[in-house]
Amino acid sequence: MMQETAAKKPAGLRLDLSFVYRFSRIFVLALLVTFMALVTPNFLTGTNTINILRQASLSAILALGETIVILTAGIDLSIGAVLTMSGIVGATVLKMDGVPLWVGVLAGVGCGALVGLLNGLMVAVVRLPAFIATYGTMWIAQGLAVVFLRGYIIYDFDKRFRFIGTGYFLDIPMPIIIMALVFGVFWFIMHKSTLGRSLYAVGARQETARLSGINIQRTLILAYTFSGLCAGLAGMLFVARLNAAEAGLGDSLLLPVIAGVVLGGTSLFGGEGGISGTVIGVIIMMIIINGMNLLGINSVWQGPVQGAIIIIAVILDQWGRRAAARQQVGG
Amino acid sequence: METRATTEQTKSLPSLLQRVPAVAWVLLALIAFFAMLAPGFFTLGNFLNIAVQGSVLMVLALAATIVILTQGIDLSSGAILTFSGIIAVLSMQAGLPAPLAMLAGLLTGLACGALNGFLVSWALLPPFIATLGMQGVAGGLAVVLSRAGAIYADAPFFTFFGSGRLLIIPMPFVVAAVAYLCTWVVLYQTPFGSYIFALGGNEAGAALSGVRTKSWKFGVYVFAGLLAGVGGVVMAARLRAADPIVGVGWEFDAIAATILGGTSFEEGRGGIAGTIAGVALIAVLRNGLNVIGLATAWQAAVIGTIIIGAIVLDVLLKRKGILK
Repeated sequence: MMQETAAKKPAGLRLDLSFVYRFSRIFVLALLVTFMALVTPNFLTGTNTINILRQASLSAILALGETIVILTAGIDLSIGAVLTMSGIVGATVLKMDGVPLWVGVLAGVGCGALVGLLNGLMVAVVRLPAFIATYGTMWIAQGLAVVFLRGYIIYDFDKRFRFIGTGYFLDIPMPIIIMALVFGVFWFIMHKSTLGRSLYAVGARQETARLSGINIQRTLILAYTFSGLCAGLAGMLFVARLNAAEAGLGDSLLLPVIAGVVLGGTSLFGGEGGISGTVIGVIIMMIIINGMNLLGINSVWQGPVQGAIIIIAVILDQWGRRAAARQQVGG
Repeated sequence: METRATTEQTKSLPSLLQRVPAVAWVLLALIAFFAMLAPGFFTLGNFLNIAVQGSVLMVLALAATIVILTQGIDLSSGAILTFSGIIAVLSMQAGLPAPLAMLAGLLTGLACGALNGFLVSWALLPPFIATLGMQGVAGGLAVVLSRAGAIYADAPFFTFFGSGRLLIIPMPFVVAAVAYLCTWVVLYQTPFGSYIFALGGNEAGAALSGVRTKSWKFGVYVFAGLLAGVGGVVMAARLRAADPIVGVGWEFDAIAATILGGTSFEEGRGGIAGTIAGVALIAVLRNGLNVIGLATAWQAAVIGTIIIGAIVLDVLLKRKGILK
């Protein structure tokens, strides 16, 4: 679409822009950490770091699922609501008499996967635009969450269940360990399986992907199902940590998660980016949220700030990507 | 109001029936259904009620329609509606005369729309992400400025637009009708309107034929923002208050009304006449579920399911050629 004028770059001392672009998020992270460490004494303490990572691990699980959807040039706007609904469904099952704990957890995760599957079917088979399909399921899931809750808050769960949200293994909080495990699974899928390659291919150019024999429908359905599954898992972890399930569980998660994915360098146009960047992006988002708290900024400002960050991050990311591409064409 | 009439239409009865949009049938069925279930539904008073309730949605759906015609999307209209209402009420509380305060509300919508337009046209953001960010910014600022609670205003000039009547017609309905007329003129009587359809049909082609696509697309989002501002001011006038969550989710109803009304998100086909039917459908649905006494907790889930189900069905039936 954009014909770049290639050979106009002045010769001489040149920065490798694609290198700068690739590592820009690490720079941002380092800058942010330095800034926060300078202005607030409590930032670089062990407890606060663990705190940030623990919070980040929940969002990161959501963001990993969102990343593979965005890689296919889609979007999943339902993750926050799906997290809420799965958490409540799982919590309801956990509260039933005589039901083993793992059944409850499975119910929550399965509920998330089911909504994800529904999203996938609407996007891949009905071919609705992803933002319309997932925006619809967002309101449905949120509505169903209220229905399941019947106006109450479900709280006080078995200690063994709460362990996955509040416990420690070898001094590391469980959410961080679970998030590392999820990352491992995703890394394997993205780098060692054909599904991983298919996700990139479908996002980069669907027609080419189809001609090279990739089953587009299957790939898309799997991507959205994974995203829903991640939301379900994060929902159960959230409930375990709070020891309660209520209708506002996932309310404020959609914007930071999408911002994290974008800050991590995954292109909203699909086919570029990956899960490692996402983890960095989510940590950046969490430091900003945590930093605003430490600096005593009223929490009502989170909404506007997160909205602005999404917009600015996408603009900068596209700008950096284009600059890097232009240099490569020129060089 | 279809933009491209299919010329080879045969005029037999079945094909004429095919041309009645599906949404009209569903609407009739829905009205019959509610009328049978609840005696209070099929009354003049209740229909007047539905008209007032549907008016703000109509204004918002007009915005959604012109944006979707360009193959864009506006996820921020509900938040802009909220934000504009808050600004209007705050301005009145600060001592501004009601007409000026309302103008401030409209300008707020316009400014938000302009930012959306800039982000989509020149920063080249995908519309859903630009407007999702805007949803966060406008919705968030509404919470910040209202200190997370409802704020009140009752200047007579202001509340007239919510609960007053012109002759016997409720003012929100008058506002919706005026908004419809303006949008109709813009869409069908000006070059701007032709460019809106061109943008949705073939943007690259339009650009190559010398249409300044970026500027016109910017204009579309500005217009949509202004309409959302109008909706916000009328809503606040009706409630005599602005509330930071009043518009949450309205963008979904507006988008749904547009799609159910036959505007395609694929190729710049459709128009605002169908949107009236889409809005009527959603307004009747919301009102009817209330009248038959469906528990509030169930309403969001049921309405969401019906809307998405209808959209899926609509797309599938059209693809199979059963519906036009």
